[in-house]
Amino acid sequence: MATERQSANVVTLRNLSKIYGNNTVAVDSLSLELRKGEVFGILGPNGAGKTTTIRMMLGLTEPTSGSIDILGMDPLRTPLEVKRNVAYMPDDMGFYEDMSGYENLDYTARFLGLGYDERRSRILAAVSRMRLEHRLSDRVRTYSHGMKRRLALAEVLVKRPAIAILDEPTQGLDPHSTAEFLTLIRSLKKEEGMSVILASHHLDEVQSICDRVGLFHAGRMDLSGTVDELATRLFGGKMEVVVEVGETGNRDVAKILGTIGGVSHILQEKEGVYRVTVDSDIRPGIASALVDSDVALYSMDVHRHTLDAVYQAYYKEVHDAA
Amino acid sequence: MRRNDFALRGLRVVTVKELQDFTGSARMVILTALILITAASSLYTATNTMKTVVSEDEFLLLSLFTLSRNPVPSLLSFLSFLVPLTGIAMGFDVVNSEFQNRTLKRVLSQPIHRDVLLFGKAVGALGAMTVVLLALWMLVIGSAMLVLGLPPSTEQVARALAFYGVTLAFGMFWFLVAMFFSVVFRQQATSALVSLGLWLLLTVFWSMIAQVVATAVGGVGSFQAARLEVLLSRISPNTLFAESALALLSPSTRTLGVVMFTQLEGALMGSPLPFGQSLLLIWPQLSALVALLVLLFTASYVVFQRQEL
Amino acid sequence: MNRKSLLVALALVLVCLSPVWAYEGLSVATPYPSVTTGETELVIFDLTVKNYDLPPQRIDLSVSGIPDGWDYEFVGGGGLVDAVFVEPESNTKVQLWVAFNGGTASGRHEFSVEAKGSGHSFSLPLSLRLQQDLPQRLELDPELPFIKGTPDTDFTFNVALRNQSAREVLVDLDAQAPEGFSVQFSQQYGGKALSTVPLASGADESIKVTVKPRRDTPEGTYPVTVVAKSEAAQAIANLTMEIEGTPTLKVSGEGGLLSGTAVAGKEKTLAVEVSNTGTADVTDISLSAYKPSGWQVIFTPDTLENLPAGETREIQAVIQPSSNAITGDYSITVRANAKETSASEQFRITVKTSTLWGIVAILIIAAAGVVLVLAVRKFGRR
Repeated sequence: MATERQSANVVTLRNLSKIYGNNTVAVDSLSLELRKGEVFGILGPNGAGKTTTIRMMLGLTEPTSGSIDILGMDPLRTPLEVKRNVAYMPDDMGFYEDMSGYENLDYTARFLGLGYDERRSRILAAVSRMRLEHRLSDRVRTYSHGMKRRLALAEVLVKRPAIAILDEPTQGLDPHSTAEFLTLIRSLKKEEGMSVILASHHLDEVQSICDRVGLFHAGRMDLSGTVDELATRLFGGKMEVVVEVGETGNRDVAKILGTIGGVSHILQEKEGVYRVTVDSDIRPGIASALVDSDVALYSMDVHRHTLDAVYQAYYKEVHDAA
Repeated sequence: MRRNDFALRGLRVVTVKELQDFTGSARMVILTALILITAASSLYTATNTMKTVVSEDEFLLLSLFTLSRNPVPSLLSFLSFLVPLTGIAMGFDVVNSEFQNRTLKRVLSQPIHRDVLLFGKAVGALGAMTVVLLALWMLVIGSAMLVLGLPPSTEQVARALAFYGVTLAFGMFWFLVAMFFSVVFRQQATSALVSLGLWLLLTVFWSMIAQVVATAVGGVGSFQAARLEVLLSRISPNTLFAESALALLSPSTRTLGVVMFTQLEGALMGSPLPFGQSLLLIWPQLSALVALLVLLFTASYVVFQRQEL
Repeated sequence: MNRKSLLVALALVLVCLSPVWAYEGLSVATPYPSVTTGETELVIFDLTVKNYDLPPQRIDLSVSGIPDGWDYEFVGGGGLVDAVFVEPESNTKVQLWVAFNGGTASGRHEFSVEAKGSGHSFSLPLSLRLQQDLPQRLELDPELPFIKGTPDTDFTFNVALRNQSAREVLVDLDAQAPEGFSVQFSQQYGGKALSTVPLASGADESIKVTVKPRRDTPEGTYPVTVVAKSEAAQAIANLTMEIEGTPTLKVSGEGGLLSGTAVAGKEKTLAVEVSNTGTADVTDISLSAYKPSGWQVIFTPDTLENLPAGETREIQAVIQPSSNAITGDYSITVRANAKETSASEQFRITVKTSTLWGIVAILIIAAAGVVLVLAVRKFGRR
């Protein structure tokens, strides 16, 4: 069966396209796989098709073509079963302001078909995890923005989904709360084997918790994988050595660097500063090559490519191509 | 592609929540209080009038709805004014508030179909209106029994109940109008204003417009003009409601609209029609009202379902 | 002249008083000393015993010479008496009751009342003639003994009743009439109903006899015998009523129902009954209806040649209300015109609304429902 065939994947999107009525292509032949217990970050500027993709996964929007498989189910055929197992925290979530936090959670929990006791115990557990229990019977109107975000995540917890789709969950949160949030997502993944799709603009956040990321552009996700993989794809290596040299005279440092084995990409940032993309830490080789060529080596720093760099490079490339 | 799940899953949850919202909101409490107070005042004057005028009215309960004495209008006129307002007050923000509060996506990511939300809102409104009007009816029937000292006849109760149904449909019409606009317009103020504007047009101005158009087309005082005027005025659900109320509450009403003199030849006036015949008389009005309700809901439904979240 | 006339008057008074002046003694007097009586009757003589210039005295009374078979008593002061007391120049009244108790044959019987005072006596001769009772006679004389009329009219005969006997009688009035006829007696003027008339001797009275025949009395002559009866006499008057047949038409609904229902613009058959409740045939009946304009009423048959008395014919009236008749009651007058008479009746036709439009309306609602269902099917997938 389908589930067996894709046993590792909880979400499989194949050539998914969405064309709106006015011929706007929101999603264009998109394919995506989410493995069980994986945190997948989707990135991209506004209007890149992230939200549309998420909605199609929930059956809230109908795809123009392509197939969706969520836990072996098609959200078009069995939208309720899909929604029962997938929690969605929209970026612009809101609550019924005149109802208390508990009532809000209870309302959505009722749709799960749970009995009163079950709902209550789930809500109390989720809320205590979110440290909202003291405000539970207050009207949501009195909640701060951060509390509402926590309430929204509590709602995700109440559902106990196999997959959680979080759209900008940390938007507007203070750094402390954000850190808490990320810790929570990690623990959910670890403890409950929850698979998470995380859409965010905070690249460092995404990098810190996502196993893989996908970069969206104009409805396509041409680039996906671990950050290292993306860096390798974009820069040829997952690491970067920043080399700072002294007076080079008329020696071509870039050429010297290029002869070193393992160097895939060289970028002269400014006079005397070179960024060298490598696959592994080959600083000793670089050092000896430079010294052999009589170049004064001031410093040499190695680090992995950040998601931010990948992101910037990718969209610069895309932008230049356009 | 067909839905395999139970289509109306969660309807009860939505309905209960909406019912609580409708009945518990300050807006509805105020409107209900207003209705009950005005009803009580016009019932008080009606019963007083009834006591002073010693008449062998066969339809005492029904005349409670229609009796009035200056300056207090009859219960019927109060209802034809307040019931649409209640409907609009309930409906003008019923959908767009979900958009504005950004609660829609959260709710729709729960295991329910999108239309269940709309169904639930309509059913909840129906329930709330049923309850409010039921309270009113109890008041009227109670007053009738207080004045009469004995329970009213089955015929009268049947007519009062039918009028209850018509009033409910009338209220639901305005709720659905407001709901339609609340689906179409994202701004609550816009939908409220448009709903009220339409209400004002149909309540106050429509009869004038119908008259002007009819005279322009058919000439002054002609039979065709009179006919056209009735026809035009029936576009307004207010006319449908008023005519239905007339036929139900005044059993001697034999026809609605323009009557030719020849039709009255040999007619024995003043004898009340049986309930079934009165009902048949307003059957077109009733079915038009019901069909309007269904179509209005359908329009809201289509627009809502096609909307992107 | 004055003196002369006075003298004449005085002389006249003297002449008149002179016999009274002359008599001295007793007298017994009665106004009717000779009486004819019947066998069953009591004869009362009113006696006046008078004392003329005698001292006051007791006077014994007796009867002499009365034949066997006669009883007598003196009655005075409410009891039986034998004697009276009389002051001078005054009188005492006493009665002599005489009754026949059987025995002696008829004829004239002489006897006398003897009055015996102290030294004076007086005898009053009386005579009784016993006879058969006087024949009482009544006469009953109709003014017009033969009257023609229809069964629904009152027959009034004037009858003169006369008492041809010597005494006042009570007359009972009675009549023999065919069954179902009612007879009433009344005074000529005043109209008070009577059954007994007191009638003085020789008097007459005009009596009105009103006979009401039965409504369904067939044509023919009917005798009515009026009998006036007193204690001892009776008189009979034979009256004759000639009753002519009348045709009476009646129009009604089947079973007397005068209402029906119909749907506007739709034919409806109503059974109308034309009946002759009279006693003569009705001929050439034609049926018509007074109806609101735009209505159609067709009778089958619309004419009847002959309708014998007491018979009923059912006629089918096909009523088609105008197609724009309004719901509710209309009245229609059905009229039957015959040579002899006519009749009409109002029918109440309740026009009902055709339920066809009701079905159409339901179809409209159903269509709206279909639109909703289609919308759900098309857009309800989310």
